[in-house]
Order: sequence, then C-alpha cells, then structure tokens
Amino acid sequence: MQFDVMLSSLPFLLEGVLVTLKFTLLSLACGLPLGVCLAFCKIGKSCILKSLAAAYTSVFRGTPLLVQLSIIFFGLPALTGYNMSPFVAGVLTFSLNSAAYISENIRSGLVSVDKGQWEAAELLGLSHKQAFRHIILPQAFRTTLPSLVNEWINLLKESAIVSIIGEADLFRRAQVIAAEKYLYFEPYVTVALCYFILVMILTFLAKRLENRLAYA
Amino acid sequence: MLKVQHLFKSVPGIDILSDISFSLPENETAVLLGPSGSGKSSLLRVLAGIEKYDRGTLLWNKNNLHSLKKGAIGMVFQNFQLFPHLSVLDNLCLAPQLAKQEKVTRRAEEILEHFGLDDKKNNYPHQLSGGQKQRIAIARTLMMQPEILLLDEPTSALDPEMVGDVADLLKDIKTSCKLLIVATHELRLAQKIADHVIFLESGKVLEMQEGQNFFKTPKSKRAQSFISKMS
Repeated sequence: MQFDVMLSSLPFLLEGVLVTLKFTLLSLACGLPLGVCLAFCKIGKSCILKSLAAAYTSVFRGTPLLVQLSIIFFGLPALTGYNMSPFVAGVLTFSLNSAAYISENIRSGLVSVDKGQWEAAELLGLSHKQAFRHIILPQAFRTTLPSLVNEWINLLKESAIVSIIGEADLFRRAQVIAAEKYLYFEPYVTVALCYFILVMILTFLAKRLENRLAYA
Repeated sequence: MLKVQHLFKSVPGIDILSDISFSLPENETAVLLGPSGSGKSSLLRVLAGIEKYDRGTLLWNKNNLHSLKKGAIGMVFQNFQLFPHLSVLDNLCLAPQLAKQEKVTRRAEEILEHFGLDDKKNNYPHQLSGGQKQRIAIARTLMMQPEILLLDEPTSALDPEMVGDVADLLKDIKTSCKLLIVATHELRLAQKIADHVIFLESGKVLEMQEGQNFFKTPKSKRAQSFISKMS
C-alpha cells in the first residue's frame, strides 16, 4: 500500500471534487426547473402536453445514461457540426436525464396532497394559483424532498460517467494518477472515499432540512 | 333566505340527490339529519359549490347562491382540512391576507382568544387535539366572515362525550353568520342545536320540520325508527 504517494496528488484530486460538485449542482439546477415543468404537464389538462411529458420520461428512463451522453457528445456534433465541451455535454445530458426522474418525483408529490386541501383553499376564497403556491406546493415539496435528495446523490455518483468523454472530474483524475504512478488500488480507494464523504455530507444536510420541515 | 328547488345529482346508476327542495330563513340553524349515505354531505358540498349538480335552483335572497363573493360560503370539513405546513395563526390569516383584508392578525388573535386557543397560535395542526383542530377549522372559516356556514359531521372525528361541547360551540357561532347548516347523524347534537331539521334518506328529503317538533312527533315512519334507534 502506498497511500503516502497519494498525498502529493491530493490537491489534484481536490480540484476534481470541485469539478464534480460544480457539475452536479449545475445539472440539478437545470434539471429541477425542467422536471417541475414536466410534472405540471403530467398533471395538467392538456392531453398533448401529458403525452409529450410521458414520452420524454419514457425515453430518458428507458435508455442508459452512457448511451445518452454518447449521443449528445459524439452524435450531435456529427449531425449539427456544433462541438460541445465535455463539461457542457455532461451537464446537458445529466440535466435532461435527471429532469425525467425529478418530474416523476414531483408529480407523485403533487398528487399525494389531499384533494380536500384544494377544496378548503377554494372555499376560503383562494384562487387556483394562490392555492397551488401557498397550500399545495409546500406540502408536495415536503413529500418530494427525500426522493429529490436521492436523485441528487445518484447524480453525484453517476457523474463519474463523464470521465469517458474526457472531463477532468474526480474519477478521471484517479485514472490519470493511476496511469502516471502505476498505482491502481490507492487512487480508486481514495476517490471512493471522496465520493462517500460527499454523499454523507449531502445526506446529513438533507436530513436536517427534512427534520426542520417535518417539525413544521 | 336560502331556497333550494328541485335539486338533482346523480352518478351512473345512483341518484345521490333526488328532487331536493326546501327553504331556510336567515339567523337560524338547520340540521341535515339522516343515516350514512343519505346524501347529507353531498348536499352540503353542492351548497358549498365544490361539487357539481345536474339540475335545480339554488337561491340566496333571490340571487344565485354561487354568485356570492368568495369566502361567503364557509365550510368546516369532517376531517377539518387544516393546512399542516402552517401554524394555527397562519391557517387563520392566510386567506384574509391574500384577500387584502385589514387588521387580519389582530382579528385572528381575537377569535383565537374567544375560542380559548390564544396559547396555541404558534402551534401546528399536528400538535392539536381533535377538539382544538375543529375549533381552529371553524375559526379559520369565520375569518372570511361567511354569510352561510356549513359543517359536515362536526362530531365524527371527536370523542362521543364532546357532543355537548360542540353544541355549545355551534350555539356560540350562530350569530357570526346568517345561516348555519350542520350535517350530522348524531341525534343528541341535532336536538341541542336544530331550529329546523331536514331528514334525508337515499338522497331524498323525507321530512322537514321545526327542530323540537321533529323530535317530538316525527311524521315519517323512517324518521320515527331512526330516532328510536339512535335514542
């Protein structure tokens, strides 16, 4: 075991942590609003929007993430002539993919709110928009939060896939160290530890938020 | 005066409300009495405007009942439907604040004090007992100053020994609105509060009488058997 060798590579790895975090946060920031829009389409009255949103979810849940990434990074430039950086292609793929999952989580959160809450709000004189904004959405958010956090954790772990298109994320950097130093066990174990710590921090923060909301 | 004329509502194969007609004067308490499934809750929900009906006329002082301003028909649900993510005070204040009413918080605090719940204003619904939840639900409805107040089975989620408390509460709020309509199958509650009784079965009005007359001399055999079984 030569974990002491890893010490000199630690700054290089920590930069990878930042790339992974930036990548995950951006993907979530783009995927969340898209997921919310898709969820609204799914519970809305328009049959066309419902079908489109359902088809979108089926496609993105029904195909491997690696295939989606390959289509966007390698396939689209061949088709359009527009080249994307690995980072942009990764964020785009992960946003589109996570939106499909997020939309399902939010849809189930919205429909889980008791119909009587709508009725009570309506009888108190709230408009549909006001009822949604002040009564339904906060309750749906509370129900959806655990699954949203799960989605975020999945996103963080699956982000390692972007290493195949050359993005210098945490996992890619482990591969670089392994190739440079002819060490295979230590870099990957260190990276696994980094992912584990990130996931634990995220879980801890989510638990705190959940407890706070649960008390309310 | 509330006037309901030839009200019908059905779903395929079942008549939920069938040719319902009655009139109720202002400043009185009417009780919709009848066994489970008789159409009491459906009638209340139709009056509240949250359930559609097939045909019939609903008039409030000669105008269409559902042309009243928002919040003018208040309803307290069987399971209260308090907003779980809001504190008691916010439950009371949200709707009037969105309606841009004035001195909302002060009014809410006064109502809470009147109901003896001023110490619960920062609590959340899950921290309240059934009776407290009910009083909050009533207080929340009263904040919108309704002309007509509808209560669906106000004792069903409470201990049987609380019937007397609910009756006192309903007598207390009678003056806060122009018409109070209570759907219940709880005979003791009906006896204590009813100025008028509308006895329903299978979606039809079998009998309508002034409160005390109904309990002394029910006309229909079904009402007689209902009273004798429930007494």
